[in-house]
Amino acid sequence: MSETVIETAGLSKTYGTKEVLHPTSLSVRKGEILAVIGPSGAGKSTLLRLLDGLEKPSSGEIRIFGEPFTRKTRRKIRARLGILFQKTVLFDRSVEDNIALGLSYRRIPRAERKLRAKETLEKLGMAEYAGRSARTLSGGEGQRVSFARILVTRPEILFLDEPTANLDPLASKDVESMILAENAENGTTIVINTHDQMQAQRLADRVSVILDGSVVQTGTPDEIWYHPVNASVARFVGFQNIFDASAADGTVSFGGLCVAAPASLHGDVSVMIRAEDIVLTKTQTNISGIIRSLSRRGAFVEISVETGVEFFIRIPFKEYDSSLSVGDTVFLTWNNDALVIGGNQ
Amino acid sequence: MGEIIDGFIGALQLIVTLDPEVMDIALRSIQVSTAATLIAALIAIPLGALIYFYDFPGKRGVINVVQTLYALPTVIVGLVVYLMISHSGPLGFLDLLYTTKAMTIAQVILVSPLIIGFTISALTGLDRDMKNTVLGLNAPAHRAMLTLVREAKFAILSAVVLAFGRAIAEVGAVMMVGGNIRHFTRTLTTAISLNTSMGEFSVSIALGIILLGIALIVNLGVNILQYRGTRVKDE
Amino acid sequence: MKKVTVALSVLVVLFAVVFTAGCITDDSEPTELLVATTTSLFDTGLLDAVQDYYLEEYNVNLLFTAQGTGKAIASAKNGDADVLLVHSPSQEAAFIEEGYGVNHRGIAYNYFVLVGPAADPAGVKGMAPEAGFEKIRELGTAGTDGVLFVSRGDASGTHTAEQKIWKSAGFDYATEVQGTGNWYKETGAGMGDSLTTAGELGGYIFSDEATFLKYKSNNPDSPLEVVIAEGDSLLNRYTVMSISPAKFPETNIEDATDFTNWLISEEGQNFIGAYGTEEYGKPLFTPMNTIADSTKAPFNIDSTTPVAVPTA
Repeated sequence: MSETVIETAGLSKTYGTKEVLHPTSLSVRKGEILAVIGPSGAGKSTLLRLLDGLEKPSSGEIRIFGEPFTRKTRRKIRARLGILFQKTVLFDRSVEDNIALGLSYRRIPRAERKLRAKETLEKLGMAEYAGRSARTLSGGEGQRVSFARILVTRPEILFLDEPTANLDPLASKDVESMILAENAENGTTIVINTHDQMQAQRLADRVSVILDGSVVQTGTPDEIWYHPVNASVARFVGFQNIFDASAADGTVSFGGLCVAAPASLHGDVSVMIRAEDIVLTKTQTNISGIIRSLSRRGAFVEISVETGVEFFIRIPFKEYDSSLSVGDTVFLTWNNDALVIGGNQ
Repeated sequence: MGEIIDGFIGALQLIVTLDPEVMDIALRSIQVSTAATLIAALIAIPLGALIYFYDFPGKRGVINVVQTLYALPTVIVGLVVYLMISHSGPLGFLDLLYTTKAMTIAQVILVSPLIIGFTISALTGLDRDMKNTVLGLNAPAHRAMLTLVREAKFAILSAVVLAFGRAIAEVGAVMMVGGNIRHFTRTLTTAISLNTSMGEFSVSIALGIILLGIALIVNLGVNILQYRGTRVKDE
Repeated sequence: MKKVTVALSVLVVLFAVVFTAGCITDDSEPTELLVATTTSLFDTGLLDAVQDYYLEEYNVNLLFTAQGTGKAIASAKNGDADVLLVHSPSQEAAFIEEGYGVNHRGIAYNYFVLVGPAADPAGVKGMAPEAGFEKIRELGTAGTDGVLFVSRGDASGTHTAEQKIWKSAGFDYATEVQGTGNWYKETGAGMGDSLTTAGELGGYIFSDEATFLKYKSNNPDSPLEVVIAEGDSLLNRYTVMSISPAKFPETNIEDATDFTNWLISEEGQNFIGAYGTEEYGKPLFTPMNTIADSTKAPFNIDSTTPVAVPTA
């Protein structure tokens, strides 16, 4: 396992009386891309601003590069960090001067600033933009210039706060390419906030889910999307079948059904399964039910089956047996690993 | 009625012939108020930037006080400055009473709150992420403030021009600390006041026309700046 | 770049003006003498004429600040003047008594006048001052239509003289004149302003003759006319004194002494006596050297002996 570059312990933030980020312990490894996903207002931005030292923690501590990140060490450490926001920020000066801004703060001589800005623009394929006023750029160009302004300072850790949320799909793709290239070429550690789960899957080595001010789960994309730790995460990552259940003596029972479970499990739990992982069959299995509704959703068909509890099933339209109709009795089955047992919050 | 028409004709004669006394007064007014505005800007813009930039306990209260001081009565400024620089006052040894320096000081005090307050609102009007971006690029505090002030330059400059307008139109303070001394501390406003009391309406009207003209130019300046400012944002 | 240029243009223009306006050139730097004076003297324009002449002839800038006598004396007590030019015998005496003033000399006199609407609603024309005041008060307190008295109310020399007349007419100023109704209005302003107010209201007002003449020449349509011009209590005596260097060592006593001597010299006296003849048909002030012996009543002031820099 590679070295940890960011580590927080009990990090929290309170505005007035509202704790917007509950005590959080998180670690980020050198060279990885960590995506932080969660609904708007869950505390993603607050977390990022805390990590960049733009907000003061209400409690807890942050260590970056093994050093406590405090008021004293802030400027020294921040020289090795970079942060990009959702809203493009451009200064009322030329594109080249925008890109060189961070270098001017680092007292890098004018000639070198110019050179590095020029190189960066060439790499972006925007060399001819150098002398233009930054205010004349389109949204996508502007965000790429904003990004380049940070990359030109050669940060070791990059914080990206919803960097593509305001962009059209094409411009988003450009920015995503910049992210992947920066990570691959320079080994830059990247923490990216996104509400776009597809984007998180495209970019991230690991994903943290933040719900209602708490980091609930951190893991590989596989773990997040197939093994959510509880009902809330499952709901957020798109599980449609989530049932309250109780565990005892090696079994979990819900809605008249029983499945095997680790013997150590006791009390209230949730049983979760993705709609697309359920197989609908006419061959008899131990779970039977009646079709309540059938509806087409783009390339899929969504079927609701009443077995005592209500299951949602998603089948690709092309694999769908068109003879099914509401009121038919059908049977359900799934692979053992498709069913997840987790906390009931 | 005849008084007003006669006064007006006399006033135009004074202006067209560049009457030396009238020109002397007008130039002194512009000189004092320009110096006061520039000094106030040098003090108030950095102060406004500091208040905007740093979070400290009581910040809201400080801003409220500054905004209240927009309406600082000019005669109170005059009284306080007079008491300070009178020869029996604590700064009497500086020999400032009845000088243009004293008038400049009074006007600096008068318009500084205006520039501080408008600088704060101009900076607050910038995108919040602009400050964060600058900090994120690891700017030292003074460089960060400079970058942000530069971004808000149009709004801040219009505040400075407005401050000039308030300074040059003010009468109470310069009368008290300047003494309205002919050829030395007489300004447009104190001269209007004096000439009206002496019944010299032509001179008052002439000076009034000049003062209005300056106000018009100032207003035009503010409009141009605000137009420039919005146009830049729209692009 | 262009934007910045345009944005700064207003200030740049103002800068340019500042630096061109800053140059008032002189062969040798004139010295400055700060003279606190009264509005009734100042508003006549006499002092502007004196200022120009004196700078030209003696290379001394006379910095006149015009206030009521009360305020002029107060600022002199703060050390904010070198010379006092006022017209209030009682206040002058107190000032000298307290050690603030030295080298007291008479320079000129004229008369106070009671001015009122030409229609004379109180019917006081030609009365003795005390009798006229009493009648105006009687009609005023009774609420007679159109009978008003406008007062400076600013502790000036004119105001002090007015109070003296009320007193010799037998009234306590603070209780029997002030605040006894709408008929008595205090402006708290200079002589010129107060005359304008009285003209607008159609009231009676106690004024020095010079300021009234100047007012009348600027406002020929004003209804105000002199209604009472004779009486011992109407004498208006102007005097000069220097601020004692013993109290305020920074007083410009050399120039103050020279200026006092110039005022009582023949040249100075003629200057004062000639002022206004051209414009108003008669001089505004009568120089003191027209009096055989001004040390006698009612003048009671030396106006001929040259003064010297006081020795410590």
